[in-house]
Amino acid sequence: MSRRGYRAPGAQRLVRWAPAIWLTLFFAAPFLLVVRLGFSEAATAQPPYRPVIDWSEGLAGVWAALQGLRLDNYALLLSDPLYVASALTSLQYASAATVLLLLVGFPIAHVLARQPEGRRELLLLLVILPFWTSFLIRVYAWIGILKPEGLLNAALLWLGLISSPLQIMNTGVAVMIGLVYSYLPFMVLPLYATLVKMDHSLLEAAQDLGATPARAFRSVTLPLAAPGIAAGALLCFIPMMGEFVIPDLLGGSDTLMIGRTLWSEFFSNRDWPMASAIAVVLLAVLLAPILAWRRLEDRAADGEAGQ
Amino acid sequence: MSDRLRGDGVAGAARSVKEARPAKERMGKPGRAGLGAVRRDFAPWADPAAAPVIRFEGVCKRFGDAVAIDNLDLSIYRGEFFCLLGPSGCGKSTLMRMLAGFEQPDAGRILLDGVDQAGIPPHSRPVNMMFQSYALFPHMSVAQNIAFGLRQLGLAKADIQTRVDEMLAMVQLAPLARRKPHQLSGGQRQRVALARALARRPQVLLLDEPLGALDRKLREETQFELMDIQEELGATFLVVTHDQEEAMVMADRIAVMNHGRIAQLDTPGRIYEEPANRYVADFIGDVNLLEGVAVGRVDDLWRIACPATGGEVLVASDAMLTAGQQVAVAVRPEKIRIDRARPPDAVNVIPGEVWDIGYLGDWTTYVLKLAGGETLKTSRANVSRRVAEPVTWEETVFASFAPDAAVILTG
Ligand SMILES: Nc1ncnc2c1ncn2[C@@H]1O[C@H](COP(=O)(O)OP(=O)(O)O)[C@@H](O)[C@H]1O
Ligand SMILES: [Mg+2]
Repeated sequence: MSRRGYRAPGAQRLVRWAPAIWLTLFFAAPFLLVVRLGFSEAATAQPPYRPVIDWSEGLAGVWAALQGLRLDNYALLLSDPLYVASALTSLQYASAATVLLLLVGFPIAHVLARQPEGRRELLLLLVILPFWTSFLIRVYAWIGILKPEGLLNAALLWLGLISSPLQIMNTGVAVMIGLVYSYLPFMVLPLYATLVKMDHSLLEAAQDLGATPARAFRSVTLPLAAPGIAAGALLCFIPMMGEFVIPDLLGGSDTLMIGRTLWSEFFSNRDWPMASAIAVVLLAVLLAPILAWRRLEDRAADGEAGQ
Repeated sequence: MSDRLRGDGVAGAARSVKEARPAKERMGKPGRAGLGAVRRDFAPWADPAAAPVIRFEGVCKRFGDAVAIDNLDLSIYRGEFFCLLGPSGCGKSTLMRMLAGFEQPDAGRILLDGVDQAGIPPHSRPVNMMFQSYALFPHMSVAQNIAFGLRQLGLAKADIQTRVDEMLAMVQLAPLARRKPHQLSGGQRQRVALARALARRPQVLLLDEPLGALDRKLREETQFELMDIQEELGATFLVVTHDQEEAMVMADRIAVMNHGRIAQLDTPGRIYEEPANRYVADFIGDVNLLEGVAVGRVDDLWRIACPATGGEVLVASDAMLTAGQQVAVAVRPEKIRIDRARPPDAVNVIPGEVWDIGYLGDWTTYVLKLAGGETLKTSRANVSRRVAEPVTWEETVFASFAPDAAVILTG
């Protein structure tokens, strides 16, 4: 700005570059390694893949390693029904759970946003409270609830609603319960954030102009909550696609999700290249909804800029 | 537009809509017709046969322990431009929101066109409201905002379009039809809100502080526009405001509210020239309230002993007083003249020392310090640009007012 030219002090420059440095070190570099692994082939060696760059040969070694890369893993990924099937299972569970989360989360967020200010903060705290306990422990707790001799069956038997225990553990139902339970705060918080900003007089105006409460909800609340709906849906859908712990602990053989497949490729089969290929494809596929979200956010920001 | 402010009522009668309207009554009681400036010749409230379009009967509303509306009765007539005036928190919005159906009265009835509105939801009531915050739908264009109420009526697309165009033309916003609310100025948003509320052609339009968010100049222009639109549509306008000038300019009648009650319900002229009590006299305009005691009657004058003036003042009044009753004599500053010499033929003369002078351009106000220490506010129109020997600070002057310039207040 000044004629002498402005130079930021060292610390300030560091702060400015910190995100870039962080992303390079902890995202870009590891991801490039994973990409490279994806084009390698598994080997019973240390490390368990080929080719390995022979740094003693210098540039020639790098060149030789690059020439050894192949597309086999990706070809297998598409041809072996195991991978496609588990990806589809993931898609199915993540989509269904996202819809369920919206149905459960919207009313919660709506009620929260309508509370008087003091009570609102308290209730919001309750929504976040589960985070104080480890995620793993909370999922384990569900085993205690859902297993045949667990709390839920005991309660249903005692009420006389069922005569023999229900098989919920190790089924898709248990996975859905686990997903919806675990991700609910991630759905409620963005929805709450948009709904609490909404001017209540807009709903009154809609009703004053002849809209029934249901129509007012559809033509005013829903469109104005759209950014929150999109944010919540993506915030839940994307990690649920790669979810490993919940299907592993609560699910059975028919709930093989892509995260579980990736895990077993890596740890059981020691096929690092195949696991990497899965990770790369998963990331590429999930990039699409993230980019769509960004577009939507940008548009919303444009809309608000003038207000 | 200026003809509406003329005090002759003839200009008002010549306007298109008014001509078609039958049964025009002279305003107020006979003999009182001259109070204040009469905006238009329209006074259905004086006609015992006229049925009110809005009726509040013994309406009460409390929020927790706080009483927002306290046993209120009110009738508003078809075609009336009615103002609810009062300080913030006196229950104006609550009264209006009960009419629109957003709040339910705890007691009493609210009738619209004779129909009890209890249990009728907001979306089925034949009124529309212009919200204080405008409450425009931010995700809809100007045209979509205006069309919203029409879509709920299930009109044909072409009919909706025609009506929207009509409304846009009325508020002169046709070129901005595709804009979103956030792309409009405050004044433009106000017009969209008005057009949206009027699109359904409501019998009764409720306006909550419609001009509150506009700057002074725009507010004054918009006041006249609102009056024109109201007269053109022949609709009943119920306007909430805390701005007394706004109410005085626009209203056929004003209800001055205080703590959930109506302190006075009357035409602007009578509210100003014949306030019913100290609260109204003080709330509307500037006033000197001289506390005193009724002494006795001389012809049609009351003698009031006012300690502040150091003697008695004579006030023309047909008030029913008893000697010794505590009263207040209310005199507006502009009705008091000041002279350097004691005016020989004046009845009420109060000597005082000039304590403060406020020059407003059109008016100059003088605050006099009286012998007892009280102050008296007077004002004088600056009818010429130059003043030969202006009254200055600490000068002793004589304030005087005619017996019929003052009003006796008992409440
Ligand atoms: N929803 C509400 N909850 C509690 N108190 C309210 C509510 N609405 C209005 N009040 C109270 O009722 C009184 C009248 O309010 P309001 O009608 O908004 O006044 P005005 O419009 O004249 O400023 C105020 O004391 C206000 O605090
Ligand atoms: Mg208000």
